[in-house]
Amino acid sequence: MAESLGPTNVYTPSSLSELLSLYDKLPQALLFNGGTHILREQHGIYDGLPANVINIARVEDLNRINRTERHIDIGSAVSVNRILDIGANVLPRSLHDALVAMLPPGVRNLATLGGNICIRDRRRTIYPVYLLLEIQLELRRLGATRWTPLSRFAGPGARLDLQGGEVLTRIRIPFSTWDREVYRRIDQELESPSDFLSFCGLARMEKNVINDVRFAFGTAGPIVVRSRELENELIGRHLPLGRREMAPVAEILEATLSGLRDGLSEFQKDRIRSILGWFLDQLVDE
Amino acid sequence: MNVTFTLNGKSVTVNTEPDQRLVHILREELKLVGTKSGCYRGDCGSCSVLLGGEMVPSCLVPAFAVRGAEVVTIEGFTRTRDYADIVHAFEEAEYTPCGHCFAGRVLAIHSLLLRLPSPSEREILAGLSGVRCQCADVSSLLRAVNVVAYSRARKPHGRGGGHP
Repeated sequence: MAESLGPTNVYTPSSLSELLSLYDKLPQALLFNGGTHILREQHGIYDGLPANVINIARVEDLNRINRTERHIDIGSAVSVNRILDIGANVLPRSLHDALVAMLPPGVRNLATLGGNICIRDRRRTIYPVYLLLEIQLELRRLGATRWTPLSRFAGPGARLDLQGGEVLTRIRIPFSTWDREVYRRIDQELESPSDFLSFCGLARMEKNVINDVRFAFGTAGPIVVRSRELENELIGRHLPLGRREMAPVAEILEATLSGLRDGLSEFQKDRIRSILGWFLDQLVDE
Repeated sequence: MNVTFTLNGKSVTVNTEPDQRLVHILREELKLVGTKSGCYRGDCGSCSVLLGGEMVPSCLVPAFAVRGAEVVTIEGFTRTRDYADIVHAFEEAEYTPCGHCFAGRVLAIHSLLLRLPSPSEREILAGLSGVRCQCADVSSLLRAVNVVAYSRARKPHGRGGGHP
């Protein structure tokens, strides 16, 4: 259904096929669902919406949640609170905690994962969780469907791998078992963007030996800090690490931090060092 | 542009810009000033309404998203039994929210108890974290929520839990 509402034309498709046809004809249209990022970044009464807006909130296919033994598929228009209603025992712990922390309860009734993933100018607070859980994204346009890992979809910097007419339709979250899952958010992204950090850490342990570990830090901008080299260095280590064992770990961490293209503040770097040390302490069985 | 939706149980049509925010439609065009405007970012909770039965900040809802939807403001909610429970609990717990956060607090408590009939203290604080106001002390707020939860647990319509 399309209506001319004055300077902005708003279209409200009810099916996925209608949406894809519309978007194929209007590739410059703004796809709008919860609109929380768009409207939170604009504090005035009038928001200057573009000439064409496609309201995808009522597309049934984008509002489904399907679960199998191996993964859960979440429609890109499902609200964050509906995702949380799946339950803390079903969702990965880190994802559950990140979703609770990301927004106030009322805003979570509007916000969607799809909208969060498709923000172009920065990686959001929950990005480290998406990355470490290795989520997959279904992208569809008229006549074509593809799946892509998030790490390829949201590459370095602010670029998104979205081709013309493509819509993010589903987010696939694989189930995996971790002995420890931690998510932390430090500071407020909007109030203190230069100090803000988010952290996600996952580990499999056996008798204080790290069998597998992943961790990443997110910032308010496009920078994400993750070092596979550092993860590999820690795998097989017995915790807690002594001073000599920490030396190569610290060396790789410092090389990672100084190698970041856009840089972090010294305060953020100090926070990263502290949080990593804290995370490794958490992994030790008392 | 005409936007038609159900407001407090009745169908209304307003003529407005498509990107006008719901909080302004309610306050300025429909003169329902129980919903307050605040941060325009959905953080303070003072503009909260029920949209499709769920609490949302009306400052983040554009006019076009409301078409065909059901909206309940604090004015409409005051006519319900659920409201009476909450106000009675405020009196009993001696909790006195200010005029700015009153609507947000009431709707947040209602929404919380729909999801969690017997919330823990931590769940209450998390559930009400979207309404930011320093006007009243937390302990009386916690007492008030527990009073509502307990009274609902005793009612025949079967809701609730809580600790008296």
